[in-house]
Amino acid sequence: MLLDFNSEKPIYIQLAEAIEDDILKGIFEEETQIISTTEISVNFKINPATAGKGINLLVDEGILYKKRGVGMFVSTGAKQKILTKRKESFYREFIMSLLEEASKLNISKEEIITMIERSSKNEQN
Amino acid sequence: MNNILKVSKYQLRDFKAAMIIYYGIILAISAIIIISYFTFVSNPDGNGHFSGFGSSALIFMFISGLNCFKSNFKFMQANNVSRKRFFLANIVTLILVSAFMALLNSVLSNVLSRIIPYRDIFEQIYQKHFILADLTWFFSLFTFATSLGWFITMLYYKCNSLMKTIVSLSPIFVIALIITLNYITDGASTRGISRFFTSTLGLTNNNPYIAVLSFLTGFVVMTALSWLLLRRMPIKE
Amino acid sequence: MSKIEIKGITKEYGTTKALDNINLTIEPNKIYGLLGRNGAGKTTLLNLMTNKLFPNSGEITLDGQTVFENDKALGRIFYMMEKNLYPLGLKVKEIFQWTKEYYPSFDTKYANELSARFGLDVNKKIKALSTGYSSIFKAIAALASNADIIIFDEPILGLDANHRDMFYKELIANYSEKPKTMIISTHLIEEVAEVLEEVIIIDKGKLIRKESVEQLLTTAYAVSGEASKVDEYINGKKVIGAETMGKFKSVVVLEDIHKKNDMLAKELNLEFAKAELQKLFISLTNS
Repeated sequence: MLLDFNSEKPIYIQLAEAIEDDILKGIFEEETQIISTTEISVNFKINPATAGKGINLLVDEGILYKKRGVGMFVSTGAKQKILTKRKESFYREFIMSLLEEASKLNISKEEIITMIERSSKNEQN
Repeated sequence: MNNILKVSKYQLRDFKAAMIIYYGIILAISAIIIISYFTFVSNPDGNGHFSGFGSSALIFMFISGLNCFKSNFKFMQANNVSRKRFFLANIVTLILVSAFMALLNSVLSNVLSRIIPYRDIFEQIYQKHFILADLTWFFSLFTFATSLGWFITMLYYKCNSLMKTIVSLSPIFVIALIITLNYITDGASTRGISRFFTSTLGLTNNNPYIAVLSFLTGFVVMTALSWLLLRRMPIKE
Repeated sequence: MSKIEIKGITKEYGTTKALDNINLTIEPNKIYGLLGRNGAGKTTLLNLMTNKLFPNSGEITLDGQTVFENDKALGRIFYMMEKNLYPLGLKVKEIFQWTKEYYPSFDTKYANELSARFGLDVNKKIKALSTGYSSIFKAIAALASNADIIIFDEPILGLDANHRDMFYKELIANYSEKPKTMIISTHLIEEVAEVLEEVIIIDKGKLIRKESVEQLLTTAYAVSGEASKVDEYINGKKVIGAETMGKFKSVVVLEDIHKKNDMLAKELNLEFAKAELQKLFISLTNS
């Protein structure tokens, strides 16, 4: 988990995204407990209210749930929820701007696909 | 009351160390006097006598009074203790210490007077010796001495450096004033002062209880003045 | 509940006004930063809140009760002062013992544990402590006091980077364990910025700001890129803290972050970043 205090993105949003990343990477498995708000705020030296705000964001989305007296747990299907959400924003943030830029540079869709195939081949090598 | 005693408890800790040292010295001196008396004095029935522990206790109490303000006040401020609570605790402390010192002093002079020709200041003044008067007399004198010392340090703490100099020099002015008045009034003022002391100390009719009353009045006046100083005493930055 | 209300507080020293008509409410269970330059009046305000000094006018209450000579209210506040008021001849452990007399919920075990962790020898006398360890000792006493309100005046004075890190972490852990009002007065802001929930900014005896850090940070943003392009972007805007390195320039724009012009920035190839609290603070108190 990494937080960037200089980023213009508010800390609590960064924190929520960092936890999502860890769920995607399988560091936090579904139906297992994640680190507590206290641990988060102590480790990153951030205000506990800020940490709580980040966690609550994920609770509201149904990615985390609270077990009374125990702590925060990853919900069943959390990974899927995050993937769906991320795909949505991937489309909005990357694909749309990619296509926008491509049309400025007169790059056709076929060319784009070729580029992508080429780069994934390079990666395999 | 419990809260006040907690503050007194700390103040008494301060006195304890000083009293142990003081009585260590006093007992050592007593031992030397007793030994040298039996070793060197050839004529035990002579008129000479020993004295002075009462007045040294008095000085000790005055100095203790001087020493027991600043550090205690700061520590109590560090613990967010109100001035009122600190003040009441201090009265309790002064009374307890004075009573204890009066008792020790009385025990010491009684023991000494049985071994060597020892006469305490009380006996010298009133030419008589009985325990209750001796105890109350010293007790009230000690409360007065400590409260006077306490008041003086507080005055110093509150004053800026100019005022401190003025306060320090004030005894000289007072003495100068007495001398001048004495000269102007052709001795009448000095006689007045001496009459004042004679009557307040109960010497006119040789009654030590009048002195007790005077000392206690002095104690009350000093603590009242101290409260006026302490009431709005800022912490020095 | 432990709400502190500061109503119309003015404190004068001779003819100078150290504090000028301060009105402020400190809500329970938040971590506050009391920020201001040296001599701004921070310590005076804290001294007034804890009955160390008396105001010329105004009143300070804790849950509606005046703090003036009020042992009940004062006993709920622990004030770690920058100045040392502890007797120099006493040992650290003795002070811990005495502190428990006046703060009955003082946690001696925790105080000893923290001392061990920070490498503070509790058998040392106060006069033998270095500046850093003097701060550590006072901060530990404050953290272990279990008071409803803990005030720290320049708590990290003389602390090395490692100890500062440990202090902030312990402060957060302590707060998480049992939420309480914490007020951290400091002129070193950068390290403490993320720890705070709200800031109170004082300048020359006047209250300038009292708002959440988040709120305060929405009032400005940083923009950087090629110098001429940055100049083009900031034309007509109020800016502070411009830094230039060769052709590269970075400035803080004093403008609501929601008003920033993404389109123009993209066109000019500029980058946005969060304004640092420290820089904002300097601009607010630099007049």
